[in-house]
Amino acid sequence: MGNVLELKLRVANDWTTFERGQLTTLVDQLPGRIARDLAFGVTDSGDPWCAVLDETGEVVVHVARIREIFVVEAEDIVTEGPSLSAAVDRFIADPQLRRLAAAAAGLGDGMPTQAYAMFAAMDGDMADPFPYDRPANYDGVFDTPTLPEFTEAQPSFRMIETASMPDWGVAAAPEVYQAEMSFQGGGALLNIANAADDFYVPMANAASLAEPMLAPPIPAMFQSTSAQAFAANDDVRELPATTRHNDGQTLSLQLAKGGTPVAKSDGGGDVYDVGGLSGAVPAGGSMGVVLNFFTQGGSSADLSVVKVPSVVSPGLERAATGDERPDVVGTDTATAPDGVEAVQPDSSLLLPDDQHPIVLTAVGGHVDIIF
Amino acid sequence: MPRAAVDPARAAETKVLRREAGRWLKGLRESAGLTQAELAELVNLRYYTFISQVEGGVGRVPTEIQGAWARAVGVDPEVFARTLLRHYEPELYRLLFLAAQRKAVGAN
Repeated sequence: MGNVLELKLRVANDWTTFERGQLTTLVDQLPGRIARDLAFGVTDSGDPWCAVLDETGEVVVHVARIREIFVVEAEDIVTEGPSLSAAVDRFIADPQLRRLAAAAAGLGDGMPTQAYAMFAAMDGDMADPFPYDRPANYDGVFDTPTLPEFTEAQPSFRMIETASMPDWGVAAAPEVYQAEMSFQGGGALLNIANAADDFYVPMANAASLAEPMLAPPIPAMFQSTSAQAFAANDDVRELPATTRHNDGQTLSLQLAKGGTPVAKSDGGGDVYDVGGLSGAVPAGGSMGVVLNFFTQGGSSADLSVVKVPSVVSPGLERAATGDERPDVVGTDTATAPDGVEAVQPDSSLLLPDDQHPIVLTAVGGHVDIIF
Repeated sequence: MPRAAVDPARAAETKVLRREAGRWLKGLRESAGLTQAELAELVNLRYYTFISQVEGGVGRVPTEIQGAWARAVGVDPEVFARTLLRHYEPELYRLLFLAAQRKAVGAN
């Protein structure tokens, strides 16, 4: 009988190929282009780890599998999960992550209080959210948001936004801040999200920050101002400059057209002050506001773009993205007479039957965009 | 403040120095008879995999735990910190210590 050899099995405990793929995806998901490289290793006990490195080689995220528990750690952000995807998903969803990305990108303290862009980055099929400065790796595909089902009892024009935005530590909001919404032909339901979670970024960084913001389906960011209904067929009125936070409560406005009023409105041409954007766009820079307007049955919606008096032409362009008719670009840019901050829209934009986002992009100049 | 562009040569040097530091740290720990998990517990790290990461030359020992780390492996904290500084921030190390040494030599 020969010698009996003790056979020891060594369990390969390194990252699997699939896990490495997931880790690579994590790099792509991190905001602000903070991640540049990955480093892998295994502890003396056989637990694998992965370090996500920035461009200087410093570790920005540590990922590990420790006795079948997956952990993702970056500064104060620590998430765990029974699977790598679970831990990574929690990590990516952590609101502190964007603050971390901002710090890594050199933003944060000392940011100018003027010239912010407010991105209303919405869920939806945004084929071309920033036509002037499209992210290099933007493929034009976004997950379709989950929206409540339409019913006949509901208005035919719908816009739904919810906000859940991280704190970037930005001290101040734009000084001028107002917007209006005007609907004609059909009722409307408008949900205004929690204004306290608004998100501002400096103009100069807007384009780069748009990419991570738009990469995953991100809840809308929306600054609500006072909601105000006007009498039927009224023109746009001067709106209060102060913003109104709704303390986290969803503010619903419903416009009724030709039927029983469901809110304060009773007819077309009504104007609701819902939020918006104002700011100076640096030369060569861009700022974008993306709002999703959802329609059914070919309802029309008037979208007005109003220049503040005494400013140069803002060079506004409008595109109904995701639309097979790219020429459905509104021409309703109006010039406001001196002393008047807003005017009645002079044209309407007929939206297709399906849900399509509308992207407004302003390049150069100073603009107020009024929806 | 925007970051300066990364110099490839410096990045390569950084990688080499980190690996050297990692090997040094690993040697200290093994000499102290500690496992990575035991050391992590002594320096109050949440995940011991970080020890392996640093020993592998990836990342650096955070300043705030360098003292505890040094004591855990039985090394003078000043020597420990200075050695790590030489590997992590070679330019700062040169300014702080080598220039002072040259001055001292010149004075003598």
